[in-house]
Amino acid sequence: MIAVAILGFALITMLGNIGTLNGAHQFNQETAKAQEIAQILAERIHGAKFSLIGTIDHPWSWQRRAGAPAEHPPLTETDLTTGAAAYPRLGQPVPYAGAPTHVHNLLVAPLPATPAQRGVGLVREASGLEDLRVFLEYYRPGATSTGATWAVRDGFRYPDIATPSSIIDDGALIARIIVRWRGRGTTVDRAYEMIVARAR
Amino acid sequence: MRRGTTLIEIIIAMSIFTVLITAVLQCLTGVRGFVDRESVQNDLVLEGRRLIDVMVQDLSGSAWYIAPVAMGGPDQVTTGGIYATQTELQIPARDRKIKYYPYIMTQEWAGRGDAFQAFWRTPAEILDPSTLPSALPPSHRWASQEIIFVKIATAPPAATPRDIQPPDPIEFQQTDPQQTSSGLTWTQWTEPRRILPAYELRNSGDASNKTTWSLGIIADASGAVVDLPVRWESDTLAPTAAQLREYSYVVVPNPVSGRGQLERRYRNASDLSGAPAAALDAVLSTNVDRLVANTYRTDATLGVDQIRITLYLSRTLDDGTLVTDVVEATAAMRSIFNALDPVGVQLRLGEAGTFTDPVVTP
Repeated sequence: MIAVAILGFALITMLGNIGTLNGAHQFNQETAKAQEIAQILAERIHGAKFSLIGTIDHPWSWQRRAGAPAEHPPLTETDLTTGAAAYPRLGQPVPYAGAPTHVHNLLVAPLPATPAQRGVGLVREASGLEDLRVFLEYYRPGATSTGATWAVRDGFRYPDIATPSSIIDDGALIARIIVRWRGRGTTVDRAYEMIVARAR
Repeated sequence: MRRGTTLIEIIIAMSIFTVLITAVLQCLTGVRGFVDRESVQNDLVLEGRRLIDVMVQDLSGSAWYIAPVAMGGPDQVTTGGIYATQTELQIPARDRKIKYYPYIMTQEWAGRGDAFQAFWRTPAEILDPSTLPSALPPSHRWASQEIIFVKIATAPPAATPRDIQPPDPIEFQQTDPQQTSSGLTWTQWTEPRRILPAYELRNSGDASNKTTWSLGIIADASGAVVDLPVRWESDTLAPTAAQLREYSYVVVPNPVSGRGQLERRYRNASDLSGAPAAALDAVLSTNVDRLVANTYRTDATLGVDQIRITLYLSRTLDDGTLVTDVVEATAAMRSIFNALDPVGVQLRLGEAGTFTDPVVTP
């Protein structure tokens, strides 16, 4: 009986370890993908012309606050309004009257129909992350020196409305990128966060 | 009398032992695979960052540049000449015949440019996306692109890029370049200074002499601009437009594995006739499947002085598992005019981002 008990204990430990490894493997894979998306978005922010960040010229750069999905929906892999991919024509006026009528997709088609549509997307194919949502928030540099809690101090957050001209009137900004998704086969919400700063 | 162990008992014990050992081995194999995969993934991310850093550094020393009419380029778009109209630059068939930098060629016949025949290569030297593992994401298996560019010289002329000796650094944070009657001198800064956006590159020569260039730098408290003389990289001291050193980033098949490798090539000439073939400067990575470059011609959100590069990397583990990574960065090149000046831009390029049917693919 003692031998059988030890054997059972060993087997359960082994199975537990295998399960833990698989879970960790999956988690690392998903986190790597989220990190890749956040990194690409951060590079976009660093590379974009400062005066166009947050304006209708760069729909990917609109402020999309976490916690306010109705007014500021996150970037997703599907159009939240139609379920279809949305590829706005850049270089043309993009409707934006308080609340966006365009919900921009993270994806870009392999061969967009027109040149103006190229380069809009941040990812080129489905990420594999369930319920992927990407938020982007802009703050004044003072947000870091005051210990302000993200997203609750309006004084440090830039206005929400995107306009043809810049919403950023300071010499520098802080961008908070939040990638959220649901663990595959689980109900656990996961998030990856990145803070970047750049000057004009 | 003690009872001995029966055959049945031995078989049962061995079966249990086998199950146990199998579980242990599977667990160990899993741990090893997990560690291997994570290690490779981390290596790939670091390699991607390294490659991007190298390329951005190179491209930041580049500039938007159109060769003179004699070289098959429009020189100044508004001055007339066979190629010298804004419209010509927007006609894809003509666009492929005009020499300008940076120049993006897709690794397929439709995406080639007549103006850069020295960079053409045989099909064997072109990475065929269909030969890449089918398990790779589709975006890794589309045609790659090639970037051809010229750089501002940072050192005395050298026969090859490897011979270039780094010059003394210009310490912008400590000294202040001042243009005086006796030349460029240095004074201590009393307050933080700004450098013109994108180091505005100015041409102080006339239309027939495009070899005298300078970087405009804000150098005093009033915001006045002084010119820091520079030149284009070449193997001669005073290069003409036909003697510029052309660089190229391209993904070609690795001779052994057949997978993609990212190379930097160069040639010490930019003329069309009798041009030497591009020489290999460095193999930067053997894990790159695809290189994509976007400029204002293919992405209307980019300024004329910007270029966005995307690298698709992958590695195959011993067990056949594929690990992938995508890195992207935008580099700001030197400009020969104020890229934020819409009138200046339109004079030279037409309305940026309105090309109706460019040959290059994303």
